[in-house]
Amino acid sequence: MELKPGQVYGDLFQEGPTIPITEVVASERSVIFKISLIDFYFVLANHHELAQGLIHNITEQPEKHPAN
Amino acid sequence: MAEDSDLLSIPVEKLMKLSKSVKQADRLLAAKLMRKLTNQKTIFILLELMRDADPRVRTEALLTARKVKRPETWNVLIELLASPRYAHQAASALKEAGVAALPVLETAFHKSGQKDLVMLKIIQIIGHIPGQESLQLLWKKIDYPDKRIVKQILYSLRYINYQATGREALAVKDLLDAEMSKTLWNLAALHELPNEPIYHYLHEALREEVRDNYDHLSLLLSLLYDPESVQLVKENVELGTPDSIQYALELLDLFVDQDLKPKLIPLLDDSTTTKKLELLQTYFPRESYNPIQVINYILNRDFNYNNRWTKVCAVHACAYIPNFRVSRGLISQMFNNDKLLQETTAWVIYNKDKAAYQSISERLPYKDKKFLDSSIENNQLLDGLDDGFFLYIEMIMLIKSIPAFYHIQGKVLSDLADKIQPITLKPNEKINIPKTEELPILIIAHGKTQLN
Repeated sequence: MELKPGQVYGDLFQEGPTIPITEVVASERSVIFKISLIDFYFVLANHHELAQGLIHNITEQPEKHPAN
Repeated sequence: MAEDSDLLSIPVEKLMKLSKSVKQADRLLAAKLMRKLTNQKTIFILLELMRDADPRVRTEALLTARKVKRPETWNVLIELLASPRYAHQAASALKEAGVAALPVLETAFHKSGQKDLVMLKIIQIIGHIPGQESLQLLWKKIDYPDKRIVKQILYSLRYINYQATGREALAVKDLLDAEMSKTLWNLAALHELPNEPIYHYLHEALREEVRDNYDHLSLLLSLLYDPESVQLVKENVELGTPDSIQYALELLDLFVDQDLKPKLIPLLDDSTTTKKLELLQTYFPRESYNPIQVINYILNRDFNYNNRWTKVCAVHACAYIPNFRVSRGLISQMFNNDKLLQETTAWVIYNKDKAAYQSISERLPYKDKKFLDSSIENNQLLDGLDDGFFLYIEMIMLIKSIPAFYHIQGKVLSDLADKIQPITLKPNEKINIPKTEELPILIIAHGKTQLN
């Protein structure tokens, strides 16, 4: 699976179960933000706003721009 | 019970041997056996297993601690509240321990040097333990200086539909006054900052703060009045049409105390910020400021008034204001323990006055100086997100622009950014994800990658 800038891989960010991966290969110079699943759920557990926002954004049709 | 002891009877020495075994399965068995065999003589075995290096053994031992509810385990459980892996289980065990654990929780809350996160978790746990004793402990902390703790107390009270009366109601009204003042200050700051691209992030951060302020006002009102009526007012104010706001204010007028009306109504109605400031000047006096003053005030204000994301956006805006000198407010942020604020400030100061940066960074601990020097070396002013290197602030800005994270507050994403490990890969370079690890979250910030 190829990922482009702004795309996210991981639990909650895919429809259905997360496809297991064993390696990430850069097609060109790349920067990846890695967050351990445990840390991610720890932040999620401490911020109900994050859980609410993610559920809304992942389950609803995404908007083109954030409303300010 | 007799049957249990027959089946599980095993000498203490054997149990100890199992708990010290190099085999994971033996230690797991020891952790499970402790559910029936925990007593004064064997408790130390459980305490050791609760600190085992193997996560499965530790998890099993925590489950045992939850079942046996022994006071000796509570301090270990409280320590684990700071652990991302075990906090949830530790909190569940402490909640199940119930009223008996309250004095230990209270002592741990007031322990010198206690971590903020642990304090917040302790409040959550106390809030989940039913009874008058836990309520009293919560109310005792209602004027605690760190308002994140107070907010957690209010959430706990709201969770059980608590209605404040008498002295408690007066305390809530004091908090309401403070929140109304904060809301007005933030509204005024929004009004005073020009609508220019350099203030974009700061504007957005202040709007998030104002939304937070209004949510907090609703939370406080829900503890004083019927929560359903308060919710109806909130929903109608948020709808934002003249009719809905009018309806919300009429509803509010029916149940709110007379002394609150002259403050609350101008804050919630659809009048302009100038009008609000004029009407509320007697209650919440505030001078008017120019943009540089607003930024300096945000930098110097207590963290209870503006969160770290708003502050970092204020620092970021400074970079683009030529006549914003390297002020004392700005310099002080270079000494902040918060890496997000420290790094952004270093970047701004370096690009404004390299000599000033050198002389300030000399006063920092070596570790901090090295961290800042390497961040700045890779980041140039005005290159924004396109230079392929990311300061913490840039990580948050990028995450904010990803659809999955739309509308999520910057202060929340700042806490998520603290957990980010940025990885730079050259073309065809790869990273392995061990099968034994949980699959991580990967955000592609720059370039294209193939996941196999």
